[in-house]
Amino acid sequence: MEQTQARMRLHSFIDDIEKSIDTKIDLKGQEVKSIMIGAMGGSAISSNIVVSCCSENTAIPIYIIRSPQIPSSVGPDTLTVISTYSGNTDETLEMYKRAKAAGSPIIVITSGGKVEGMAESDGYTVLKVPTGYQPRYSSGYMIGYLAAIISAAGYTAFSNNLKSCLDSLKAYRNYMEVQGSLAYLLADKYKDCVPVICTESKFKCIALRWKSQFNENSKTICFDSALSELDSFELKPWTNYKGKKLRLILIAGESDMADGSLLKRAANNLESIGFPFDLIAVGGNTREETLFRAWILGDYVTVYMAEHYGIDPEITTVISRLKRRIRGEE
Amino acid sequence: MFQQRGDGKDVINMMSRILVSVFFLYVRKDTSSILLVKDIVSIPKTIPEDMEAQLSQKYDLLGGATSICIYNFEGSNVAADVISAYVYNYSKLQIHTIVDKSVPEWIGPDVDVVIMSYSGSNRYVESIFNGVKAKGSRVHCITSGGLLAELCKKHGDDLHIVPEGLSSFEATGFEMGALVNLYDSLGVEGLKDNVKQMIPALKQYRDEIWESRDVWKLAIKVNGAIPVIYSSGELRAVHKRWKFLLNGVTGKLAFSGEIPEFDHNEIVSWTEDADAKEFIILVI
Repeated sequence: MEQTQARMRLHSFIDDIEKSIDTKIDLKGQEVKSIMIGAMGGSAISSNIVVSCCSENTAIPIYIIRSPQIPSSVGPDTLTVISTYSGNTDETLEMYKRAKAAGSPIIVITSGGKVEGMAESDGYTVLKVPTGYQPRYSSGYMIGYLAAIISAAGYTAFSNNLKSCLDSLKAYRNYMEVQGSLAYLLADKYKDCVPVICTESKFKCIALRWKSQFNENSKTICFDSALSELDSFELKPWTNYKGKKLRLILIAGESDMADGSLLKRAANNLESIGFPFDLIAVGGNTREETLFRAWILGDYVTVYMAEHYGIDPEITTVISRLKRRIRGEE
Repeated sequence: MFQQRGDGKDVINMMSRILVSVFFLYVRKDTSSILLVKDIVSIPKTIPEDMEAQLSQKYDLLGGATSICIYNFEGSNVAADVISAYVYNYSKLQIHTIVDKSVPEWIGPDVDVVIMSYSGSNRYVESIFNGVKAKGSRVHCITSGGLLAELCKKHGDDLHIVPEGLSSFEATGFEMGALVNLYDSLGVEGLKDNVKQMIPALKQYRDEIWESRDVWKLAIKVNGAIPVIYSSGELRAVHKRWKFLLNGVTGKLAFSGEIPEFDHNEIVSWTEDADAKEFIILVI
């Protein structure tokens, strides 16, 4: 395999979190009763992992919006975070305008673009992500800044838990870069197939990340599905499926493997119908460590697949053309 | 609290698309069996009538809600997503959806919790019920019976029963009606009246599409490939319903997703992966 620049970007993921997670953010005494994160595409997926880690330990709801239509409940006591790498995504700009009209305080995470100018002119805080990245490789900054914002709102558990496992995550990343690592083995296994990533809802962020990285890095079709559906609606279709292309991949934490768990039931069901599947059980001492390990693994698998195919993971000509067309530049 | 916009066309839009999904019940490997299947699918066809039946029940006015958290599982996802999407856009009430057993720290006495499980026996029901009760939340249950109904009765909580003996696909109309009634009683003003007003239009639409050749053609077209259904986030319930029906009733693999991802990330693979020809994309 020929090494691509994308690997450098993956390597700096944890470093980027480290650089941004302790950013001091002044909420100016604002009482925050909920946090709405407006984001699309890769920026939304970066938000997903944060929300998944925070879902059980914050006393306020934190949620993500992927649509220009924001909830009617958004108002002055909702802190809106607009996260867009380019700063020019139409849907996200619309969310910004609507949140502002609703009187919600706003913090923007971006590398520049129109939203930076709008936020500066309106007097809102702008957290800058370095330019020159593909948006999906800037997730370290996006995640670090979100952790800092949530800490500023008074909820420091996520930031502290994440910081406490950064060294372990660096070691895991370094292992992924060794020839013959798990990421290499999986990249070799999944070439020439259509992966279907199946997880419990608490791992949904990982299914979305793997899917988007298969799509954009490896240029491979990929689907995601819920483990609960495999336990109900989907078993019969998988039994009926006689093709060879689809590859079912179950991803979970090691602690989810107990007898009677949803994962174990789904795996038993698949074994009973004789359908081949892969079960990737990811270790980790905390929810944060497990989820971020799974995230890192998927990133490396998909970049190695692209290198195997001899394609550059960073090139996404179709998206760039589509975005230009949406903006009327083509 | 409730901002009425137009004549409820957004809901009609969403429910109309759910009704079209009935036609995917016709999809079979051997298309010659299409006519034989038609009789079997009469119950999902009655979604408007099922909603109407449920809406005719009078719920006590509970009021006072400021934030709602709804737990729902598998087939009940569809009813929860349709009605919550509507309330979410037009009401100042915060609505949060949870599809696993987690009980977030922010759930407390000022949050109304709705637990919706058609069978009432989902494996998470007991731990969720006990978890939210321990937080002091006001609890409302929608179910046909099972453990959920027992717990609700035992603790004297707000219980709404839908008819038993249906499949989760057949229960959707009843669940939507029950949820509209409940949200209305919790203070989402005008919701019930607005939904009632649109039922005649839904029936008319259903009758028009029931014999529509275009929908038949679509059903046959998806037969030869694996369908992948995309919709906008607001129509999430629709792509889920189509996928569930294709999976659960026809035994056919199907996948679904949302347009934001389709036109941002996934578009790369659809244009560059040679395996794309094995799938048929349906954009709703």
